[in-house]
Parts: sequence; structure tokens; C-alpha cells
Amino acid sequence: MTNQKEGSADTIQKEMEAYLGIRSIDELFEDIPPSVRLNRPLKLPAAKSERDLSLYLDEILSQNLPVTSFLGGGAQFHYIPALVKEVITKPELLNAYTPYQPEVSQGMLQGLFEYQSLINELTGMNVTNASMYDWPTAIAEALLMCRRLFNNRTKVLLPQSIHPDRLSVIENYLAGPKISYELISFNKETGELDLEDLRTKMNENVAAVYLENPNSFGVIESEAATVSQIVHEKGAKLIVGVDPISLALLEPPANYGADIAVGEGQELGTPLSFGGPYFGFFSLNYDRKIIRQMPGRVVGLTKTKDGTKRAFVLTLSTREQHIRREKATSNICSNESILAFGAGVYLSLLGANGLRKTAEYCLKAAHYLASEINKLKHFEAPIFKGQFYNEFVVRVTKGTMAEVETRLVEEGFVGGYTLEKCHPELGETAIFCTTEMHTFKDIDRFLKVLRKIDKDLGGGA
Amino acid sequence: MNKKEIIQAHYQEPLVFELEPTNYPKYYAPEIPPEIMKNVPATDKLIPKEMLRKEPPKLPSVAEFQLARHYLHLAQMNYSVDTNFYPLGSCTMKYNPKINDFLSMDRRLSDVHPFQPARTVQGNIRILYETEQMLNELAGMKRTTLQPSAGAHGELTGILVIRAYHYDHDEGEQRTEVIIPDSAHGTNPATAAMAGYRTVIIKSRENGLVDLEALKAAVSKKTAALMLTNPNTLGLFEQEICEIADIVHDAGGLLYYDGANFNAIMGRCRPGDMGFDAIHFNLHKTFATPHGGGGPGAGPVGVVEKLVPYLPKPLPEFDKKTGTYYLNFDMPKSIGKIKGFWGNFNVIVRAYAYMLSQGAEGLKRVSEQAVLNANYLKKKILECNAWTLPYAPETPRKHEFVLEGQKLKEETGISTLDVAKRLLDLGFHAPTIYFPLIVHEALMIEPTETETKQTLDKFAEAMKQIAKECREQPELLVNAPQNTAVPRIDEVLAAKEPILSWQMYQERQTEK
Amino acid sequence: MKLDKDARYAKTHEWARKEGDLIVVGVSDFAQSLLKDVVYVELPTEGTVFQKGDKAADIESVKAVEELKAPVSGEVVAVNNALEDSAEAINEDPYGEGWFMKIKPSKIEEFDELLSPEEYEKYVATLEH
Repeated sequence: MTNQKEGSADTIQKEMEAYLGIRSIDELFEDIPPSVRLNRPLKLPAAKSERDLSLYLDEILSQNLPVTSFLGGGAQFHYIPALVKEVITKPELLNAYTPYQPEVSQGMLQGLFEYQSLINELTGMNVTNASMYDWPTAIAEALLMCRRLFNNRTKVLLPQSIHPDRLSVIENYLAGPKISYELISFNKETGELDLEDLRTKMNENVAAVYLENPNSFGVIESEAATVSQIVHEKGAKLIVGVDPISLALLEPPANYGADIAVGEGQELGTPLSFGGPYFGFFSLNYDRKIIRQMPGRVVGLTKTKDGTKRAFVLTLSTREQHIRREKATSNICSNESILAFGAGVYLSLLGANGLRKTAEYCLKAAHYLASEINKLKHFEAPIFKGQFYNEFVVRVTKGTMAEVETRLVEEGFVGGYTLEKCHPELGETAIFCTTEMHTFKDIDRFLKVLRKIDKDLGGGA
Repeated sequence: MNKKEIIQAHYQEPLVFELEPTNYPKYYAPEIPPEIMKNVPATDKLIPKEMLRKEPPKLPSVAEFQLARHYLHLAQMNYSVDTNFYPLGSCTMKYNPKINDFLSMDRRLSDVHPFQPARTVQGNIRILYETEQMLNELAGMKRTTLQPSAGAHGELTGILVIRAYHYDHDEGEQRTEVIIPDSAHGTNPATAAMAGYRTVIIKSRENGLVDLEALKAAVSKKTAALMLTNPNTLGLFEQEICEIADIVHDAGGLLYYDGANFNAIMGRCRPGDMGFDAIHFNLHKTFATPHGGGGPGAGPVGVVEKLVPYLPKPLPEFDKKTGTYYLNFDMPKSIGKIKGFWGNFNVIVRAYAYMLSQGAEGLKRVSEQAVLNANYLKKKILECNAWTLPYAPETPRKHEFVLEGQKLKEETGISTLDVAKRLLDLGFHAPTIYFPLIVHEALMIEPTETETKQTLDKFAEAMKQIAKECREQPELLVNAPQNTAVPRIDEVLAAKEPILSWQMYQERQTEK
Repeated sequence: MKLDKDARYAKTHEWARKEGDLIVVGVSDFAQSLLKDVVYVELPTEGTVFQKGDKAADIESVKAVEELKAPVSGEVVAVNNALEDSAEAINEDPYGEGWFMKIKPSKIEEFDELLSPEEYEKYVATLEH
């Protein structure tokens, strides 16, 4: 029975020290050489009580300016249902480790199995892994996987329209295995991938081609099936980066020949959180040989040894770092499990109808906003002729987009992600994104501000 | 007589696809505003014909109340740190304070887009900035990137930074090898291979530590780096760390610190003072952010001054003149981005709150208690006379220790796997098993500081009971677990005939 | 530990047996007992040429992957495709149904360089402690 006496916690500590035959805990650190010991206190703030911590954080966050933004570019503001938040904060799930002891972790494992299956419904494939860190690293790992599927192909092709941050991540992953890449240009009219450029650059040294659909400009790649033909004619693999909510309206990538589908799972119930954590989904079709090159954990369905029950378990683990070490398909260990679980909740709750309705809202709000912006004197939207989903490129023909953004912030808005650094050839442009979080009031007020900015840019084009 | 003690709920919970479809109540997604509906063409006019989806995805059509029960049932079949003791070596399964979760859900954090201009997110950048300052101080590093999403991701980042350094000094082509001790975590060699390096494994000495002679033989002008954990995976502190650092630096290589075991040394010593050039932290280990059933974590990477230029961009800065925070992208030698956006911010916030809650003294106390608990438990379990402590048994461990079950196996035929499964029956999560590879039938135990002596004693009692059962009632172990949601699972079948989704399951059914 | 009296053995636990002018190759009973349940094998394509010691196949169990190293140099003329669906044959009948491949040897003297069943048995005894 525990001793309820006052000061008994100190007594217990002394008991433990006595049991170990030491007079103080310092003795357990004696093997640290004196030359490296830290002989001063850490220069960190003193401990804060919960109350003070809350107040401190509140004060810091009050320095943020609340804005309504039309930002996309790989992270989108979507509505997160209460059930999703509740489920992923259940301590049994949130505070659990990776389910390496499956008999006590059936909850996590089944939830992840469901998540894997739900994503499959979107991508049209039958295998999805248990998550990657995010979309860019999922692309990178898919490219590395494709390289491994061939003996002698050392090149990959990427779209020139790709967001520069995604390209930078990919470059870092391609560096080690010395995989080279080339960019395929986009059609200046439609914004879609330039098929002629692809044909020119496609050869038997290319292991994989990566296509985004919709692409970084928000444009839907209407000729994706032709891209697939061109790629497969030369025996290479096609990786497609997709928007998961858009897949309620768009063809599953499996249907137009994608070998691997990747994308940003953040849209499915993960908050924006100033950039993370997000998660990348990674889908492909099962093949005994190819599956062995897939990175990341994967949950499988099996039986108990006595054959009586269905059970779930992490499987095909010999691909992974803890077994295969330097020959592993990837070094990935911790992934984004709880967020993938949450995406499973999101998709189960919305169902096909809820997802479709959400996607249509995103689509139509974007088209409404684009057409209204296009009516302004000094703005063009969209600048590309290709059809778009919920992101589109806007150009300002007088002054700079940066100046427009400054004015917008003053009014409590953030427009789109400006492109002058990565695509200066397009002029003063930015990518705008709309979602079901933009009420008509938001859009209407935003347009009023834009009209004012447009007016202030004066007469003449 | 062994009465079956239920320690977990047992549900034959259907898959979400197997739940009965309902029409009421339905989930209502927001309606498209009528003004927009009026002015925008129909969906099939907005999407190219070839790209228009023909068949809707076969997602479940169920109501929230069904799902609430479904996920509650699943949660009740899942073991967590909040359930009971979770002594996974190398994972640092310490308690995750609730205040950190609540703070991270503040809408000013969760509803903010990463691309928002700096002047609208001063608070968020300040959090990044202050977190970095604290991590720099804890580790003795000059700057830390908060971008990597996990420990392994941090390792890759650190090795790529080292790689960039060597290339910038015209030694990139020459330095092709990374040295790793045989006791290392699997992510280390996997990371080195991903970064394009050849791994050179050096054997540990009989005392479990790095063999200086082997190291001297292994370094050359081909050495890019040595990857080390200190204390190592056996829980032993590398006392000759200064000599190790000198050997590697003299050969022109750099020293990388795997921060998985950082919980052992906070406030006592710092990797920067030991000669390490780059280190990664595991926020989901040392800094009490939730493991989430596998993730997300975060793996910030701290570096010494000469490696700072190569860190991923951006780094958070404070402009004293204007008194504002900003993200600095002007880093010409940076390796660029290792992840989209700035890092697992929501995880970073929790770690930030944790560090502020503990304070300087608290963090030092964390390591002290972790080390005390580990040594206490080690001695208690060794009293069972069943497991041995290989490699320098007289040397105290730090925050974790590795027991060997080889002798027990030879004596009773019971493996560490069976011991682990029996522990599940007794209501505990098993320790890490079969790692590190240099111990046979290994049990790697890390109690952490958030455990009472009472719990440690109970665990030691359970191990004692298991040792007895090994000798007298081995069938209890071989048939374990029996008290968990499901009994032992057929992992061979799972690997032989993979069914990796509901879709594959249905394909199998139609094949039959 | 079962042995095939007609085979010779490599220290890396492969067995080789003459069948006409071909060499049949597999892994020993000792090897399969270490691997435990084999779930998957990756066999080479027919026509591949190996040097003695090259990795010729991957053998996967739940918790490990091992490599089969070519015990003799030569060209692979046949592989046991049945292993695709019945990898357990490697555990159940390592010297019979569990054969991996048939090699047309380029240096037949390498066969005699392998260990005899007795030598292999002695060698394995030194490994087990």
C-alpha cells in the first residue's frame, strides 16, 4: 500500500538510491568525462505553471493578425468535422506507439487498414501505405522507388510547373542515389503539360515521369491518358500527384494509367497548422515483386494463429529500415499515423456524397471568383485556357502582385501565392485557391476590396 | 489456476465498409451559395470530359453515431501510454501532458496557412524562433532547423547538410563513406544509403562501446561522417567521446549525433560540447509530443557554426531594428527544402510548451529521474536470475538497458518473443525486442521518468512471474497472449498472402 | 539437421547437386531452420550469368531477408517457379521441392571446392554455441 505520509515521495527516491547503493543520482552520471560536463544551469526560462503557459502562449498568438486567405499551393483550408478532431485526440490512439505488438494495437491497425482502403477508392488502386511525411516527400520516395525498379534507368522527368518547394525536396532525395532530372515545359496557352516536349525528352533512360493533376497552376491535365501512353511506350513508370478531394469529381489516376498516385493528405481532416504536420498518401496496384520496393509501413489483414479471428498487422516489414537497414526501401520510421487515421474518419463521415459536394463547392467557388476577378480592369483570371479545379492563376497588369498583396493584408485578406520568383516569365501573377471554407460573404467582401484596388490602379490598362 | 484477466476490450469490430448504410442522419457538407450556383456552369461543363469521374468512389454511407461507436471500440482495443507502462527502449514513451495538446489546438495556430505573410503570423514565427533558441542551448549547437518531420528525416537532413559541406569544400566526390557502429538503430545505415553513402560498420568492444582501434582503422579521407548515439543503444555512455571526435575530425570527417537517447543527458552534458557537428532531436521522444500510433513526430537538426549555411531554408529570425520576426529565405548555400513548408509546427508547439513547463531545472530533473528509474528497474529484473546484462555489467546504464534472453532460451526453450507476448497478458506493453542486433534475444527497456517506483516494482514482479513460468509452465508463454483483444497473430500468413486493403480482400473473395 | 548425401555445401549455407551436366542449387536445412517460415523468394531470370559468390536470389521470411549466393559460376537455365506460390517448400523439403535454380556451370572444378556433407556438418557445429 502506498504511504500517504507527507514527504513520502522523497522517501521513495531515497529508497531507490539506497537500493542502488548510491548516495545521489550524480553517481549515475560519473562516467561522463569532466571535460564535457555542463557545469552551469541551462540558460532556459524558469518553469511556467499551466496557467502562465496558457497566458504566455495567448499573448504570443495575439500578435497574429487574423486574415481570410485564398492561399493553396499544397495546403488548403478545409472544414474539419468535430468527429475527426475527437477521434484523433482519443488518448488510446494519440498516445500509442507504432503498433509493433499487434495483439494490443488492433484499434490503430484496423483504423489504418480502413484509411488505406478509403484512399484506394479515391485513387482507383488497391494498395496504399500507412502514410509518408507529406506530398513532396511522397513524390520523392515514389521517384526513388521507380529508379529501383530498373537496372539502368537513372533519370526522371518532372513538370516545369511544379511548385519550387516540392522541386527542392525532390532534388534533395535524388542527390544521394545520383538520379538526374529534366523539366517538361508547360503549354503557355493552356497551362497543361507540353506533350511535344515530353515526347522529345522521353527515352529509355527515364525511369519515371511525374505529372500533377490538377497541376501547380490549378489546371486539370486533360490529356493525362496520352501522357500515360507516351510514358509507357518507353517502358517507364507514371507517377501522378493528385488532390484527394478533387478525386470526387476527377477520374481516379489508375484509370488513365498511373502506376503510382501520391498527394497531400492534409486536405482530409488535418488542420493547416502553419505548415505541418501533414501527411502524404502513396498508392499503387499490387504486384508481388513491385510491392517489395514500396516504402513506408503497410497494414495487412490476416488471421490469428488459432484461426478463430480476423486480425490486422504491420506486414511486409522486411522492406523497412529496422530489418533491412542500409538495403531498406527507405529510412522512414515514424510517419503520420494519427493523421492518416483521421483522414479515414473524414472520408467515412463525408461519404461519396459529402466529398462530392465539398469538391463541387471548391470548384464552383473558384470559377465564380475567377470570373469576377477577370471583370476587373487590371486583372486577368485565369491566365491559362486549360480548365481548372479550385486553384487558378491571376495576373495583375499594372504594378506588382506584391503591392496588391500588401493592400489586401491591410484589409484583412491574403490573396494567392505569388509566382514572381519561380515563374517570372508569367508576369505579375499569383495562384488563388478557394474551398468550402470561403462563404459567399468572404468572397463578396474580398471582391469589393479587389475592386477598390483595381480602381486605385487608375484608368488605362 | 490461471483466471483469465481481461486487460483490453474484445470486439469483433466490423470494418467501416461493413457497417450498415444509413440514410439518416446524413452528414451535411456546406451548400454552395446560390449566387455562385446561378453564375457558374454545371460541373460537367467545367471539367474536361476525359477527366470527369464516371463511377463515384465506394466510400461508406454511414452516420456519425455509427462511426462514433466504431472508433470508440477501436480505441478500446488499443494500448497507449495512458493505459499503462510502456517500456519501449529507444522510444522514450513518457507521458504526454494534456495542456500541450490543448494549446496546439488554438485556432490561431491550427487555422493559419504557412504561406501567410510574416506580418500576419508574428506569433507563430516567434514560437519557431524561441523553440530553436531553447534547442540550441540544450544541445550546445549554433542553429537548429525545425523542418524535418521525424528522427529519420532529421538524420537524412543532417547527413545531406554534411554532404553539402564536403562538396562545398571540394571533398564531396572523395568522401563516400559513413561509419556506423554495429549497435546503431536501423535508420542510421538506411539514412546513409539514401544519401548515397557506403556504410562502414565498426564492431563494438566487449564493453559495448566504440572500439577506438577499429575506428582508427575505419577512418580515412573517404570518411564523410560518423553517426553515433550517446549514450548508445545499450544505454552506455561513450566515455571516450572526445577521442572519438578527434579521430574523426582529424580524418576530415564530421560527427553526427542521433538524438534518440537525449532523454538521458539533458542538463548534464551537451552534444555540442562533446564534439558533435550535427545532431537531430526526436521531439516525439524526449519532448513528450504524442506518438500518434506511429507519427507525426518531428526531428529538428542542430548544427555547429560551420554547417549553418547549409541548413534547409527558411530559418526564423528576429529583426531587432523593427522588432519583428520573419522567415529568412536568403540562404544561398542552403540545401533547400527537405519537406514542404516549415516543419511539423503543431508538434513543435507541443515541444515548446513542454520545455516552458519544465524549465531549466525541470529538464535536468527529467534526465535524472529517467536514469534513476532505469538503473533501479535493471537491478530489480536481474534479481530474477533469468536474464543477463551483456556488455560491461558493472557499469551503470543511463536511461535504458538491454537484457539478454539467450541463456533463458537455452535453458527453457522460451524466446524473448514469448516473454514479450506474456507481458501483454499481464497488462504491460512489451519492451523493444531483438534490438540492438549485438545482443541475442534482446529486451531493450526504457522506463522513462514518468513512472512511479510502484509501477517499476509491479513490472519487475511480472518479469519474476514470467521467469518462473518459463521454467514451470512454459505453455503459458508459448500460447500468450490470451488476455488481449486478439490472441497471437499469424504474421507469416500476412506476409505470404498479403491482403493490404478492403479491395484486395474483396478480390480474394471473388477468386475463391 | 538434415543433410543431402548427394550434395555439396557452401559456408553460406547453399547446397549444390549434380544433375546431368547441370548443378541444382538450394539452401540447406540448417539455413531454413534459421530463416523460419519463408514467405517470398525473388528468383533470377533464366539466362542470368553469375560468378561464384554473387547474390543469386532473395529469401524473405517475416523478420529477415537473406541472400542466396551462387555456389558455382555459370548460367541459370531453369528456376523453380513453383516457389512463387509455395515458398514453404523451402522449409518443408529444402533439398527436394525447395530447389531454387539449375545452373550450367562454367567452372565445374568449383563444385569440388565446396564442402562435403560431413565437412559442412562439422562447420555448422562450430557456429552453434
